[in-house]
Amino acid sequence: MKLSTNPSRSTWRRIADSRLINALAAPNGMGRYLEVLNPMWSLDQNRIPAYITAIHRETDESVTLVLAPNGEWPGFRPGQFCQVYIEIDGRLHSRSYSLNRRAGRIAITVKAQADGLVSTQINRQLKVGDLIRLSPPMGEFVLPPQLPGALLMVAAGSGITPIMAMLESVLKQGYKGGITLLYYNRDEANTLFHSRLQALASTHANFSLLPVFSDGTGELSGHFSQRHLLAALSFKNTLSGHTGALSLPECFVCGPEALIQAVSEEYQLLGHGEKFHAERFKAVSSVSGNTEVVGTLAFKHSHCEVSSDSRNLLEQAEAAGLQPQAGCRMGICHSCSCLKTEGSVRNMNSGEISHGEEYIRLCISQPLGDVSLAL
Amino acid sequence: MNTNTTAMNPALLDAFGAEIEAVKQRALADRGERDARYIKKLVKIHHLLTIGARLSIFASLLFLPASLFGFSIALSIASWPLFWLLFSAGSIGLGIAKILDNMEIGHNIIHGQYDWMGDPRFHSRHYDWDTNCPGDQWAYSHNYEHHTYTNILDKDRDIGYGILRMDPAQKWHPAYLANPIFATLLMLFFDMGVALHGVEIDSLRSGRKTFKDVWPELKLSLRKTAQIWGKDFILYPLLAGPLFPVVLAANVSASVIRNIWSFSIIFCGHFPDGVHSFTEASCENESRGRWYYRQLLGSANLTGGKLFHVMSGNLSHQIEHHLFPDVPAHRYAEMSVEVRQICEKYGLPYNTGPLYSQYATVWVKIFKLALPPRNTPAPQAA
Repeated sequence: MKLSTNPSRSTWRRIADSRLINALAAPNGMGRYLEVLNPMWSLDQNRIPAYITAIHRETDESVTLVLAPNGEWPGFRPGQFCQVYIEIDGRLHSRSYSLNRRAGRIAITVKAQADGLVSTQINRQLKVGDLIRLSPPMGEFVLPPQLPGALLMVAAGSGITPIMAMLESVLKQGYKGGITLLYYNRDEANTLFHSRLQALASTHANFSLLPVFSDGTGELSGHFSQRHLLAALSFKNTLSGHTGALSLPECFVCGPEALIQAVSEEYQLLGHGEKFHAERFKAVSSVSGNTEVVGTLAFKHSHCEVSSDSRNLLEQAEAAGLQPQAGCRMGICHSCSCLKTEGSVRNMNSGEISHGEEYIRLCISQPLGDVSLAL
Repeated sequence: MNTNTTAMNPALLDAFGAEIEAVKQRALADRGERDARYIKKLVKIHHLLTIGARLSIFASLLFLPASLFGFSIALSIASWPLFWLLFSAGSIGLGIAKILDNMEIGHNIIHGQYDWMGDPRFHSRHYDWDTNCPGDQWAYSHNYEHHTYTNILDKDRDIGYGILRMDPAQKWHPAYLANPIFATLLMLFFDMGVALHGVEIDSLRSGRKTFKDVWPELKLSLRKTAQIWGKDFILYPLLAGPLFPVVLAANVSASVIRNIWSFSIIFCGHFPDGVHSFTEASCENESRGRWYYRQLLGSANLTGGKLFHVMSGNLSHQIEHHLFPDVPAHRYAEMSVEVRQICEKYGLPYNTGPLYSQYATVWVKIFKLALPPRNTPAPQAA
């Protein structure tokens, strides 16, 4: 089950994970034996163990974890994210967080969501020395290898995390073009990296910070509009020197769907759609008790999509012409166990709700909204 | 004993089923940290024991008299006890490790008892065990066929594993005269038996399937067998160079220890005296309560200490395992107290006994059913 091969893997890791050595530890491989002796000796390339070496509190509701993964970590490009796996009451939960560098190590910054199990755990429970697991880095929200002359960055709330990674990396590389960051937050106290951004702006003449607070204390207020775009383009002349009269800078946006839509529309309208790049942070929508939700049911491996109803997923898969492995049809035998890659379902036996990437039994799972299955 | 579960009062069975279901739901709601810690601890013990046992086997080679003969005769004679100590400790240790892997760890993980942890290392779809039958193949034949159709003649292929006559309702045939011999062979080669059982090799004989039907599954099974036997009977012995046969002997012993033990425990689960079997017709449109009732009548427990329960993969709580196949098995002991109380309340039998007496009745059955029925022809399944 190797999704990635890491070219920077050390020689001993390659030997320990070779066919011969794994054959001596059949059927589950040598990594399982090594990780019992020392968790950092794990050869798992999909769930890479990482120690927490430091925890920095950013705001009242957010922390940065500085992480030291083992030799399976392949490195990342600023803007990418990874799945972070955390065990809570015996269950492994995963969430996506953007990656950044801090003091030569990798770091993730996590804002505690109101009803977020994982983000709250990270904010309140984790300690220095705890072990968590990471997936290899993912995502195509990265800067092009050939950096453009000017960059407009737009972020809202914790959407700053991938933007921050890009920003710090280009400024550190000695980038000479202009960068303006249009940054939306509730107020200054709740702004992630506020002082670090201000420090960057004061030490780098080619970087300008344009904060927008919804309490009206910033340079601008309200939601993104053409007025905000124009203000950003002309702000302190950071960008104007680097872009032609009728051109727009390359734009990177991360935040809620509404913000992404608004910026995208402006770029399309002005005929520069190709310069627009965005990353979506999907919030898990909370679904209440017994309402019947109809959504889309996507079978990823079969490249098939149907609209779903409240029947169990096994019946719906079969109705769609698929033949998933199935057995007892009452939640006993686990023959129909399948990976759900996205969406939420209710366990019809226990009423338990499963969010996000998780294995479910199709025969007793009822979809709650859009669901994607690795089927 | 062939039983018709429809004879019970349906309302009473529903009430019984509801109480059993409540026991299950309480256990499921309580799953968490404790279960995760348990299975991780067991896997850790298994891994350390495996490493220790294999090291012990190789360490024994250093004390093999033949290898010391060149130095001094006295030294080589004195080293005999050390050789045997390390050799047997290694063989038995490896046997125990294989038992732990196959029973308490593998069997229970592949049942999906730890799927909720969301960790591929403990997930039924990803875990494979140290035996010849591929985990996913076994998951189907065992979890689905055996656990859904427990002890239904002609549906549960675990009755006699296709080669033995373990129920009087199975029609007698002169080949069954060899019942005890087949049983002994199945016991010694239980790993291979389970692997071939998983691909329904017996359906070739009955003509229900052709070789072409069986081949795709058989191929996977043979590949897995090559992987496991290649490891134990070729790769590790090769590491010993000229002392190849010594390591081979140790590894064969470990496999046989595991085979005899798992055969014994598993046969005590469904074949002792007093365990019921059922006809296909009587199980049609079965209610949940009746399903629970059939599971109860079709299984038997073994009494013993905590270590015994772990070594049996908690199949010593076969009744609880059949009522709650997807509840983490280390909980069966505490759940059995409630299950027994419920059975007493409804006046239902709860078949349990120590290993030696249950096992004795299994072997009596193996010998008895080798012979044709005495006066009347075997009762026909309705």
